[in-house]
Amino acid sequence: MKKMEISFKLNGKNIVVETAPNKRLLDMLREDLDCTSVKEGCGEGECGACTILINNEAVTSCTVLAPQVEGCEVLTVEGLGKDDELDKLQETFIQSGAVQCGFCTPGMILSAKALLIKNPNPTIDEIKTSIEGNLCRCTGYKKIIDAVANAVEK
Amino acid sequence: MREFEYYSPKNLDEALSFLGDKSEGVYLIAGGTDIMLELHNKYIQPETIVNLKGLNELSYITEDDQYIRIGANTTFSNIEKNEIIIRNARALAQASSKIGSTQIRNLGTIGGNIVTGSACGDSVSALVAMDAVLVIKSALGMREVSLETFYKPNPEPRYDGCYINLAGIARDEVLCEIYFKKAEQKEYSAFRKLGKRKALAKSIMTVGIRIAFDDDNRVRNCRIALGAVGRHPYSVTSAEQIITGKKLTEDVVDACVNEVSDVVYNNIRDRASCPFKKESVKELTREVINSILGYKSYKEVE
Repeated sequence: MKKMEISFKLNGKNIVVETAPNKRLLDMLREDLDCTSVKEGCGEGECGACTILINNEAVTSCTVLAPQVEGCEVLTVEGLGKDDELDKLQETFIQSGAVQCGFCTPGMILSAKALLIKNPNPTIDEIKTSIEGNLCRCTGYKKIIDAVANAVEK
Repeated sequence: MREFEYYSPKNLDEALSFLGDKSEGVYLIAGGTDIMLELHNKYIQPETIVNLKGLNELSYITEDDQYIRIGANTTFSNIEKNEIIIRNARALAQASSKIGSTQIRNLGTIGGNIVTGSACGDSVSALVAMDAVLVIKSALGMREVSLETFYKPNPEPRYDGCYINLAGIARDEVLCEIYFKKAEQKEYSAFRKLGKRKALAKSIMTVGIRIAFDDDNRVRNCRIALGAVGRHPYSVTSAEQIITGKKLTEDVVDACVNEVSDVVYNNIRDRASCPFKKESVKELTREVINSILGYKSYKEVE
Protein backbone atom coordinates (compact mmCIF):
# COMPACT_ATOMS: atom_id res chain seq x y z
CA MET A 1 0.00 0.00 0.00
CA LYS A 2 1.23 3.41 -0.94
CA LYS A 3 1.74 5.51 2.17
CA MET A 4 1.12 9.20 2.44
CA GLU A 5 2.28 11.99 4.70
CA ILE A 6 -0.26 13.70 6.92
CA SER A 7 0.71 16.83 8.86
CA PHE A 8 -1.38 18.05 11.72
CA LYS A 9 -1.13 19.21 15.30
CA LEU A 10 -1.43 16.40 17.84
CA ASN A 11 -1.72 17.42 21.48
CA GLY A 12 -0.09 20.78 20.83
CA LYS A 13 2.83 19.49 18.73
CA ASN A 14 3.10 19.81 14.95
CA ILE A 15 3.73 16.36 13.58
CA VAL A 16 4.10 14.65 10.22
CA VAL A 17 3.09 11.02 10.11
CA GLU A 18 3.55 8.57 7.26
CA THR A 19 0.58 6.27 7.10
CA ALA A 20 -1.79 4.47 4.75
CA PRO A 21 -4.76 6.57 3.63
CA ASN A 22 -7.17 3.67 4.16
CA LYS A 23 -7.06 3.94 7.93
CA ARG A 24 -9.54 5.26 10.39
CA LEU A 25 -8.25 8.16 12.49
CA LEU A 26 -8.82 5.87 15.48
CA ASP A 27 -6.37 3.29 14.11
CA MET A 28 -3.76 5.87 13.10
CA LEU A 29 -3.81 7.40 16.58
CA ARG A 30 -3.47 4.04 18.31
CA GLU A 31 -1.15 2.17 15.94
CA ASP A 32 1.08 4.87 14.49
CA LEU A 33 1.08 7.46 17.26
CA ASP A 34 0.69 5.38 20.43
CA CYS A 35 -2.30 7.36 21.64
CA THR A 36 -3.87 4.36 23.29
CA SER A 37 -6.20 6.46 25.41
CA VAL A 38 -8.41 6.43 22.30
CA LYS A 39 -10.53 3.28 22.65
CA GLU A 40 -12.46 1.32 20.08
CA GLY A 41 -15.87 0.32 21.38
CA CYS A 42 -18.54 -0.18 18.75
CA GLY A 43 -16.61 1.13 15.74
CA GLU A 44 -19.86 2.63 14.43
CA GLY A 45 -19.94 6.09 15.97
CA GLU A 46 -22.45 5.06 18.60
CA CYS A 47 -20.58 4.48 21.86
CA GLY A 48 -18.21 7.46 21.96
CA ALA A 49 -15.25 5.51 23.43
CA CYS A 50 -13.07 6.77 20.57
CA THR A 51 -14.05 10.42 21.06
CA ILE A 52 -11.28 12.94 20.42
CA LEU A 53 -11.30 16.67 19.76
CA ILE A 54 -10.66 18.04 16.28
CA ASN A 55 -10.33 21.83 16.36
CA ASN A 56 -11.93 21.73 19.83
CA GLU A 57 -15.02 19.80 18.65
CA ALA A 58 -15.77 16.32 19.96
CA VAL A 59 -15.94 13.73 17.20
CA THR A 60 -15.87 9.93 17.03
CA SER A 61 -12.48 9.04 15.55
CA CYS A 62 -13.83 5.77 14.13
CA THR A 63 -15.91 7.74 11.61
CA VAL A 64 -13.05 9.98 10.43
CA LEU A 65 -10.66 8.93 7.69
CA ALA A 66 -7.05 9.46 8.90
CA PRO A 67 -5.94 11.87 6.11
CA GLN A 68 -8.97 14.09 6.79
CA VAL A 69 -7.16 15.62 9.80
CA GLU A 70 -4.54 17.22 7.54
CA GLY A 71 -3.94 20.72 8.94
CA CYS A 72 -6.23 20.19 11.96
CA GLU A 73 -5.61 20.34 15.69
CA VAL A 74 -6.25 17.01 17.39
CA LEU A 75 -6.49 16.53 21.15
CA THR A 76 -6.49 13.20 22.98
CA VAL A 77 -6.29 12.52 26.71
CA GLU A 78 -2.48 12.27 26.33
CA GLY A 79 -2.53 16.01 25.62
CA LEU A 80 -4.54 16.99 28.69
CA GLY A 81 -2.92 18.53 31.74
CA LYS A 82 0.81 19.15 32.13
CA ASP A 83 3.75 16.85 32.81
CA ASP A 84 3.15 16.56 36.54
CA GLU A 85 -0.34 17.96 36.79
CA LEU A 86 -3.67 16.46 35.80
CA ASP A 87 -6.34 18.40 33.96
CA LYS A 88 -9.11 19.66 36.23
CA LEU A 89 -11.55 17.20 34.65
CA GLN A 90 -9.21 14.26 35.25
CA GLU A 91 -8.98 15.27 38.91
CA THR A 92 -12.71 15.63 39.40
CA PHE A 93 -13.35 12.30 37.64
CA ILE A 94 -11.06 10.65 40.21
CA GLN A 95 -12.50 12.56 43.16
CA SER A 96 -16.12 11.88 42.19
CA GLY A 97 -15.50 8.17 41.64
CA ALA A 98 -16.60 8.59 38.02
CA VAL A 99 -14.21 5.89 36.80
CA GLN A 100 -15.09 2.24 37.16
CA CYS A 101 -13.85 -0.03 34.39
CA GLY A 102 -12.40 3.07 32.74
CA PHE A 103 -13.06 2.17 29.12
CA CYS A 104 -15.44 5.06 28.46
CA THR A 105 -13.47 7.55 30.58
CA PRO A 106 -11.16 9.10 27.94
CA GLY A 107 -14.11 9.75 25.64
CA MET A 108 -16.24 11.09 28.48
CA ILE A 109 -13.50 13.47 29.60
CA LEU A 110 -12.96 14.77 26.08
CA SER A 111 -16.67 15.29 25.42
CA ALA A 112 -16.82 17.24 28.68
CA LYS A 113 -13.65 19.12 27.74
CA ALA A 114 -15.22 20.23 24.44
CA LEU A 115 -18.21 21.52 26.38
CA LEU A 116 -16.11 23.45 28.91
CA ILE A 117 -13.95 25.01 26.19
CA LYS A 118 -17.07 26.44 24.56
CA ASN A 119 -19.15 27.00 27.64
CA PRO A 120 -17.25 27.36 30.94
CA ASN A 121 -20.48 27.53 32.96
CA PRO A 122 -22.78 24.81 31.64
CA THR A 123 -26.06 23.74 33.22
CA ILE A 124 -26.64 20.12 34.21
CA ASP A 125 -28.76 19.66 31.06
CA GLU A 126 -25.94 21.00 28.92
CA ILE A 127 -23.56 18.56 30.61
CA LYS A 128 -25.96 15.70 29.88
CA THR A 129 -26.26 16.74 26.23
CA SER A 130 -22.47 16.98 25.87
CA ILE A 131 -22.05 13.32 26.87
CA GLU A 132 -25.15 12.03 25.06
CA GLY A 133 -22.88 10.24 22.58
CA ASN A 134 -20.81 8.47 25.24
CA LEU A 135 -22.03 5.18 26.65
CA CYS A 136 -21.00 4.01 30.11
CA ARG A 137 -22.09 0.55 31.24
CA CYS A 138 -20.76 0.82 34.81
CA THR A 139 -21.59 4.07 36.54
CA GLY A 140 -25.15 4.94 35.59
CA TYR A 141 -23.78 8.37 34.62
CA LYS A 142 -24.59 10.12 37.90
CA LYS A 143 -20.99 10.28 39.08
CA ILE A 144 -19.78 11.32 35.65
CA ILE A 145 -22.22 14.22 35.55
CA ASP A 146 -21.17 15.13 39.11
CA ALA A 147 -17.51 15.05 38.05
CA VAL A 148 -18.11 17.48 35.18
CA ALA A 149 -20.21 19.73 37.42
CA ASN A 150 -17.45 19.73 40.03
CA ALA A 151 -14.92 20.76 37.40
CA VAL A 152 -17.13 23.77 36.68
CA GLU A 153 -17.39 24.92 40.27
CA LYS A 154 -13.63 25.02 40.80
CA MET B 1 -10.70 -1.30 4.63
CA ARG B 2 -9.46 -2.06 1.12
CA GLU B 3 -6.73 0.01 -0.47
CA PHE B 4 -7.67 3.10 -2.42
CA GLU B 5 -6.23 6.30 -3.81
CA TYR B 6 -6.96 9.36 -1.70
CA TYR B 7 -7.45 12.78 -3.22
CA SER B 8 -8.19 15.94 -1.27
CA PRO B 9 -9.00 18.81 -3.66
CA LYS B 10 -8.23 22.37 -2.56
CA ASN B 11 -11.45 23.82 -3.91
CA LEU B 12 -14.71 22.84 -5.54
CA ASP B 13 -13.46 23.47 -9.08
CA GLU B 14 -10.62 21.01 -8.55
CA ALA B 15 -13.07 18.44 -7.21
CA LEU B 16 -15.48 18.87 -10.12
CA SER B 17 -12.76 18.68 -12.76
CA PHE B 18 -11.33 15.55 -11.10
CA LEU B 19 -14.79 13.96 -11.19
CA GLY B 20 -15.22 15.12 -14.79
CA ASP B 21 -12.14 13.10 -15.77
CA LYS B 22 -12.79 10.05 -13.61
CA SER B 23 -15.92 9.18 -11.74
CA GLU B 24 -16.16 5.36 -11.99
CA GLY B 25 -15.07 3.76 -8.75
CA VAL B 26 -14.87 7.14 -7.05
CA TYR B 27 -16.65 7.80 -3.77
CA LEU B 28 -16.95 11.17 -2.06
CA ILE B 29 -16.42 11.62 1.66
CA ALA B 30 -17.52 14.64 3.69
CA GLY B 31 -18.57 14.08 7.31
CA GLY B 32 -17.89 10.35 6.92
CA THR B 33 -20.44 9.18 9.47
CA ASP B 34 -22.08 6.77 6.99
CA ILE B 35 -19.37 5.99 4.45
CA MET B 36 -16.69 5.21 7.08
CA LEU B 37 -18.72 2.24 8.28
CA GLU B 38 -19.24 1.03 4.71
CA LEU B 39 -15.51 1.33 4.03
CA HIS B 40 -14.47 -0.31 7.28
CA ASN B 41 -16.85 -3.22 6.81
CA LYS B 42 -15.85 -3.50 3.12
CA TYR B 43 -19.41 -3.01 1.88
CA ILE B 44 -17.95 -0.68 -0.70
CA GLN B 45 -14.54 -0.96 -2.33
CA PRO B 46 -13.72 2.32 -4.02
CA GLU B 47 -10.70 2.84 -6.25
CA THR B 48 -10.51 6.45 -5.18
CA ILE B 49 -11.85 8.49 -2.29
CA VAL B 50 -12.29 12.22 -2.86
CA ASN B 51 -12.35 14.23 0.35
CA LEU B 52 -14.83 17.12 0.39
CA LYS B 53 -14.48 17.85 4.10
CA GLY B 54 -11.79 20.47 3.55
CA LEU B 55 -13.93 22.52 1.16
CA ASN B 56 -14.84 25.42 3.43
CA GLU B 57 -16.46 27.21 0.49
CA LEU B 58 -19.33 24.71 0.85
CA SER B 59 -19.85 25.44 4.53
CA TYR B 60 -22.09 28.46 5.06
CA ILE B 61 -25.56 29.62 6.04
CA THR B 62 -26.69 32.87 4.42
CA GLU B 63 -29.90 34.80 3.94
CA ASP B 64 -30.89 37.37 1.33
CA ASP B 65 -34.22 39.05 0.67
CA GLN B 66 -35.88 35.85 -0.45
CA TYR B 67 -33.90 32.75 0.38
CA ILE B 68 -31.93 30.91 3.04
CA ARG B 69 -28.92 29.13 1.53
CA ILE B 70 -27.01 26.33 3.24
CA GLY B 71 -23.73 24.97 1.90
CA ALA B 72 -23.79 21.18 1.59
CA ASN B 73 -20.75 20.85 3.86
CA THR B 74 -22.43 22.60 6.78
CA THR B 75 -22.53 20.35 9.84
CA PHE B 76 -25.66 19.74 11.88
CA SER B 77 -24.00 21.36 14.91
CA ASN B 78 -23.75 24.57 12.95
CA ILE B 79 -27.31 24.31 11.64
CA GLU B 80 -29.04 23.52 14.95
CA LYS B 81 -27.59 26.60 16.67
CA ASN B 82 -27.77 29.01 13.73
CA GLU B 83 -29.91 32.04 14.38
CA ILE B 84 -31.03 32.41 10.74
CA ILE B 85 -32.24 28.79 10.71
CA ILE B 86 -33.96 29.04 14.09
CA ARG B 87 -35.80 32.18 12.94
CA ASN B 88 -36.81 30.93 9.47
CA ALA B 89 -36.87 27.15 9.63
CA ARG B 90 -37.46 26.00 13.17
CA ALA B 91 -38.32 22.52 11.86
CA LEU B 92 -34.83 22.16 10.40
CA ALA B 93 -33.13 23.40 13.58
CA GLN B 94 -35.18 20.91 15.61
CA ALA B 95 -34.43 18.05 13.20
CA SER B 96 -30.70 18.86 13.21
CA SER B 97 -30.57 18.85 17.00
CA LYS B 98 -32.06 15.33 17.11
CA ILE B 99 -29.52 13.71 14.81
CA GLY B 100 -27.17 11.13 16.33
CA SER B 101 -25.09 12.58 19.14
CA THR B 102 -22.96 15.67 19.67
CA GLN B 103 -20.03 13.87 18.05
CA ILE B 104 -22.08 12.84 15.00
CA ARG B 105 -23.56 16.32 14.59
CA ASN B 106 -20.04 17.79 14.69
CA LEU B 107 -19.11 15.60 11.72
CA GLY B 108 -22.28 14.91 9.74
CA THR B 109 -23.21 17.31 6.96
CA ILE B 110 -26.60 18.25 5.57
CA GLY B 111 -25.47 17.39 2.04
CA GLY B 112 -24.41 13.94 3.17
CA ASN B 113 -27.73 13.30 4.87
CA ILE B 114 -29.50 14.03 1.56
CA VAL B 115 -27.30 12.16 -0.92
CA THR B 116 -26.92 9.09 1.31
CA GLY B 117 -30.57 8.57 0.45
CA SER B 118 -31.61 6.76 3.58
CA ALA B 119 -35.35 6.34 4.09
CA CYS B 120 -34.88 7.72 7.57
CA GLY B 121 -32.50 10.64 7.01
CA ASP B 122 -33.51 12.92 9.86
CA SER B 123 -33.08 16.31 8.22
CA VAL B 124 -34.75 15.37 4.97
CA SER B 125 -38.40 15.47 6.05
CA ALA B 126 -37.79 18.89 7.65
CA LEU B 127 -36.25 20.10 4.40
CA VAL B 128 -39.15 18.69 2.34
CA ALA B 129 -41.46 20.71 4.61
CA MET B 130 -39.46 23.81 3.68
CA ASP B 131 -39.80 23.01 -0.08
CA ALA B 132 -36.01 22.88 -0.30
CA VAL B 133 -34.22 23.01 -3.65
CA LEU B 134 -30.85 21.36 -4.30
CA VAL B 135 -28.05 22.98 -6.32
CA ILE B 136 -26.00 20.25 -7.98
CA LYS B 137 -22.80 20.96 -9.91
CA SER B 138 -20.51 19.04 -12.22
CA ALA B 139 -17.65 19.95 -14.54
CA LEU B 140 -20.28 20.43 -17.25
CA GLY B 141 -22.44 22.93 -15.38
CA MET B 142 -25.07 23.13 -12.70
CA ARG B 143 -28.70 22.18 -12.24
CA GLU B 144 -31.37 22.64 -9.62
CA VAL B 145 -33.85 20.03 -8.48
CA SER B 146 -36.52 20.11 -5.79
CA LEU B 147 -35.66 17.82 -2.89
CA GLU B 148 -38.98 16.01 -3.13
CA THR B 149 -38.35 14.88 -6.70
CA PHE B 150 -34.66 14.13 -6.04
CA TYR B 151 -35.08 10.53 -4.88
CA LYS B 152 -35.69 7.84 -7.46
CA PRO B 153 -38.32 5.23 -6.79
CA ASN B 154 -36.03 2.30 -7.69
CA PRO B 155 -34.29 1.41 -4.47
CA GLU B 156 -31.78 -1.36 -3.92
CA PRO B 157 -31.92 -3.35 -0.69
CA ARG B 158 -29.03 -2.50 1.53
CA TYR B 159 -27.02 -4.57 3.96
CA ASP B 160 -28.81 -3.27 7.04
CA GLY B 161 -32.29 -3.83 5.68
CA CYS B 162 -32.77 -0.15 4.88
CA TYR B 163 -33.16 0.86 1.27
CA ILE B 164 -30.60 2.93 -0.51
CA ASN B 165 -32.58 5.22 -2.70
CA LEU B 166 -30.06 5.87 -5.39
CA ALA B 167 -30.43 9.54 -4.81
CA GLY B 168 -30.91 11.28 -8.14
CA ILE B 169 -27.32 12.37 -8.50
CA ALA B 170 -24.79 11.27 -11.11
CA ARG B 171 -21.30 10.00 -10.27
CA ASP B 172 -19.61 13.15 -11.56
CA GLU B 173 -21.92 15.53 -9.68
CA VAL B 174 -21.58 17.17 -6.28
CA LEU B 175 -24.46 18.49 -4.19
CA CYS B 176 -23.29 22.02 -3.35
CA GLU B 177 -26.17 23.94 -1.82
CA ILE B 178 -29.63 23.56 -0.36
CA TYR B 179 -31.88 26.60 -0.41
CA PHE B 180 -35.46 27.44 0.50
CA LYS B 181 -37.68 30.49 0.91
CA LYS B 182 -37.46 32.61 4.02
CA ALA B 183 -40.38 32.42 6.41
CA GLU B 184 -43.02 35.05 5.69
CA GLN B 185 -45.17 36.83 8.24
CA LYS B 186 -47.21 34.30 10.22
CA GLU B 187 -45.34 31.33 8.75
CA TYR B 188 -44.06 28.73 11.22
CA SER B 189 -42.66 25.22 11.17
CA ALA B 190 -41.95 22.39 13.58
CA PHE B 191 -40.51 18.88 13.58
CA ARG B 192 -40.82 15.78 15.74
CA LYS B 193 -38.95 12.52 15.66
CA LEU B 194 -40.09 9.24 17.10
CA GLY B 195 -37.14 7.12 18.21
CA LYS B 196 -36.45 4.43 20.76
CA ARG B 197 -34.31 6.70 22.95
CA LYS B 198 -33.29 10.32 23.31
CA ALA B 199 -29.80 10.23 21.81
CA LEU B 200 -28.37 8.20 18.94
CA ALA B 201 -31.80 6.98 17.94
CA LYS B 202 -32.52 5.89 14.42
CA SER B 203 -35.81 7.52 13.57
CA ILE B 204 -38.85 5.28 13.58
CA MET B 205 -40.77 8.14 12.08
CA THR B 206 -40.30 11.87 11.52
CA VAL B 207 -42.83 14.60 10.80
CA GLY B 208 -41.96 18.08 9.56
CA ILE B 209 -44.70 20.64 8.97
CA ARG B 210 -44.66 24.24 7.76
CA ILE B 211 -47.83 26.35 7.92
CA ALA B 212 -48.40 29.92 6.73
CA PHE B 213 -51.47 31.59 8.22
CA ASP B 214 -53.50 34.51 6.86
CA ASP B 215 -54.61 37.48 8.99
CA ASP B 216 -57.77 35.61 9.88
CA ASN B 217 -55.66 32.68 11.22
CA ARG B 218 -56.74 30.40 8.40
CA VAL B 219 -54.09 28.19 6.79
CA ARG B 220 -52.85 30.08 3.71
CA ASN B 221 -50.55 27.29 2.60
CA CYS B 222 -48.72 24.41 4.19
CA ARG B 223 -46.46 21.43 3.69
CA ILE B 224 -46.75 18.20 5.69
CA ALA B 225 -43.68 15.97 5.24
CA LEU B 226 -43.06 12.49 6.61
CA GLY B 227 -39.85 10.48 6.98
CA ALA B 228 -39.19 6.76 7.55
CA VAL B 229 -42.69 5.76 6.43
CA GLY B 230 -41.81 4.99 2.83
CA ARG B 231 -38.76 4.56 0.71
CA HIS B 232 -37.88 8.21 1.08
CA PRO B 233 -39.36 11.25 2.80
CA TYR B 234 -42.41 12.69 1.04
CA SER B 235 -45.14 15.25 1.50
CA VAL B 236 -48.84 14.43 1.89
CA THR B 237 -50.71 16.66 -0.55
CA SER B 238 -54.15 15.27 0.26
CA ALA B 239 -53.76 16.08 3.95
CA GLU B 240 -52.40 19.53 3.13
CA GLN B 241 -55.55 20.21 1.08
CA ILE B 242 -57.74 19.33 4.06
CA ILE B 243 -56.34 22.11 6.24
CA THR B 244 -55.65 24.74 3.56
CA GLY B 245 -58.10 27.65 3.76
CA LYS B 246 -59.40 26.55 7.14
CA LYS B 247 -58.87 27.40 10.78
CA LEU B 248 -57.13 24.63 12.70
CA THR B 249 -60.04 23.52 14.85
CA GLU B 250 -60.05 20.13 16.50
CA ASP B 251 -62.26 18.66 13.74
CA VAL B 252 -60.04 19.96 10.96
CA VAL B 253 -56.90 18.61 12.64
CA ASP B 254 -58.65 15.25 13.20
CA ALA B 255 -59.51 15.00 9.52
CA CYS B 256 -55.96 15.93 8.59
CA VAL B 257 -54.24 13.36 10.82
CA ASN B 258 -56.64 10.64 9.67
CA GLU B 259 -55.78 11.38 6.06
CA VAL B 260 -52.03 11.29 6.90
CA SER B 261 -52.60 7.89 8.51
CA ASP B 262 -54.44 6.57 5.42
CA VAL B 263 -51.61 7.67 3.15
CA VAL B 264 -49.02 6.03 5.40
CA TYR B 265 -51.08 2.83 5.47
CA ASN B 266 -51.19 2.73 1.67
CA ASN B 267 -47.45 3.31 1.39
CA ILE B 268 -46.22 0.73 3.89
CA ARG B 269 -49.10 -1.73 4.16
CA ASP B 270 -46.77 -4.70 3.52
CA ARG B 271 -44.42 -3.78 6.36
CA ALA B 272 -44.61 -5.39 9.78
CA SER B 273 -44.39 -1.94 11.37
CA CYS B 274 -47.50 -0.69 9.56
CA PRO B 275 -50.12 -1.27 12.29
CA PHE B 276 -47.95 0.68 14.74
CA LYS B 277 -46.91 3.43 12.36
CA LYS B 278 -50.35 4.16 10.92
CA GLU B 279 -51.58 4.92 14.44
CA SER B 280 -48.55 6.70 15.85
CA VAL B 281 -48.22 8.97 12.83
CA LYS B 282 -51.59 10.49 13.77
CA GLU B 283 -50.44 11.63 17.17
CA LEU B 284 -47.00 12.70 15.99
CA THR B 285 -48.62 14.85 13.29
CA ARG B 286 -51.07 16.28 15.80
CA GLU B 287 -48.18 17.07 18.15
CA VAL B 288 -46.34 18.97 15.41
CA ILE B 289 -49.46 20.97 14.48
CA ASN B 290 -50.04 21.80 18.16
CA SER B 291 -46.41 22.82 18.52
CA ILE B 292 -46.83 25.21 15.58
CA LEU B 293 -50.02 26.64 17.10
CA GLY B 294 -48.31 27.06 20.48
CA TYR B 295 -45.29 28.74 18.92
CA LYS B 296 -47.56 30.96 16.83
CA SER B 297 -49.45 32.26 19.85
CA TYR B 298 -46.16 32.80 21.67
CA LYS B 299 -44.65 34.76 18.76
CA GLU B 300 -47.76 36.80 18.11
CA VAL B 301 -48.13 37.90 21.73
CA GLU B 302 -44.49 38.96 21.75
